[in-house]
Amino acid sequence: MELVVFMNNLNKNSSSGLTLVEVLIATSIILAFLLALSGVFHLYLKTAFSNGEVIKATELAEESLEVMRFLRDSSWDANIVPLSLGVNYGLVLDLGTWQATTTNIWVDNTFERTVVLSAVYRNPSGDIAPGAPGGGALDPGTLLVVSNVSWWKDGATTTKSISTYLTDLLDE
Amino acid sequence: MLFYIAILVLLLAVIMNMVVSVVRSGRIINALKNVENSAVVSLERITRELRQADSVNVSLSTLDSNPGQLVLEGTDETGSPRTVEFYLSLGRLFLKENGVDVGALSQSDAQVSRLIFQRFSSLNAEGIRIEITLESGTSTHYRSEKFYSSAILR
Repeated sequence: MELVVFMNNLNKNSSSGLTLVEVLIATSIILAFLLALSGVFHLYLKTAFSNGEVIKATELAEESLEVMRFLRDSSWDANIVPLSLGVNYGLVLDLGTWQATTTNIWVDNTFERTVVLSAVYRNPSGDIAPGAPGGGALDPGTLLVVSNVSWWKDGATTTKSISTYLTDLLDE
Repeated sequence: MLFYIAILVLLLAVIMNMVVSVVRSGRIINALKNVENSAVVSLERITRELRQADSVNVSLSTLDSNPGQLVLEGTDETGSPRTVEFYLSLGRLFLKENGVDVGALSQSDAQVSRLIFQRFSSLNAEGIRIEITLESGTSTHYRSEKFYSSAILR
């Protein structure tokens, strides 16, 4: 009998509508969901908006390696040998030819572009031995070129780096 | 009752704000996508053609000025002469092979507003620097980006 009275009371309460607490809980759940969705969307936007800069930087980095090949093809002795190892060089197109310079070069006042040369060592079987000079014999006809493009974004510097080996093919 | 209505209005305002923001961002991203896709495809094709070419036809090309035009000469896989031409028409970058139009490299909803080819050379090497500016969209979702690339003839 008591159970029947309790159920009747419960039905009366539930049919009188949502209480304030229920509404607040439901609203909180919806807002939390929207907030999470907004966070994901913000991350997506950030990635999408920075994509253009990554593409530009990649093209500029690849251009640097192509320019180094141009300098190598033009003359290894005149263009590559005088460059110091481990020094950042900028690349300038002037009067129809490219030149390496120690001056910082900014492309469109946004991208700082440099190339750095490193010595290459080979092990007894002739393969490139990465790392320390003790890993093999110096190969004076090959250099490692690293092309770096850096830009400032959201309070931090982002750098895109690509590298290749340059070999003295023509001057010997 | 008023309290419930206030909560409903607040929720609707948040949702509407998010919808407007998503639509607006979508338009900007679409403009960026048009620009970036056109740039990547155009630069990739030009640099590949440059690497395969034997020489740059300087007299038929328009170098160091906008709108630029580039005519490359080489041979195909059978050894026959092959001429490739990159040119602008109605704001789009087109490609011709042996005088026959192959099609556009840039998308129809992206405009090439600036195209400059710069030749650099030495006794043993020759190359082209490409500067291309692409734009897409209007008013609040207008986007314009400038790209550079270079390639040498192999």
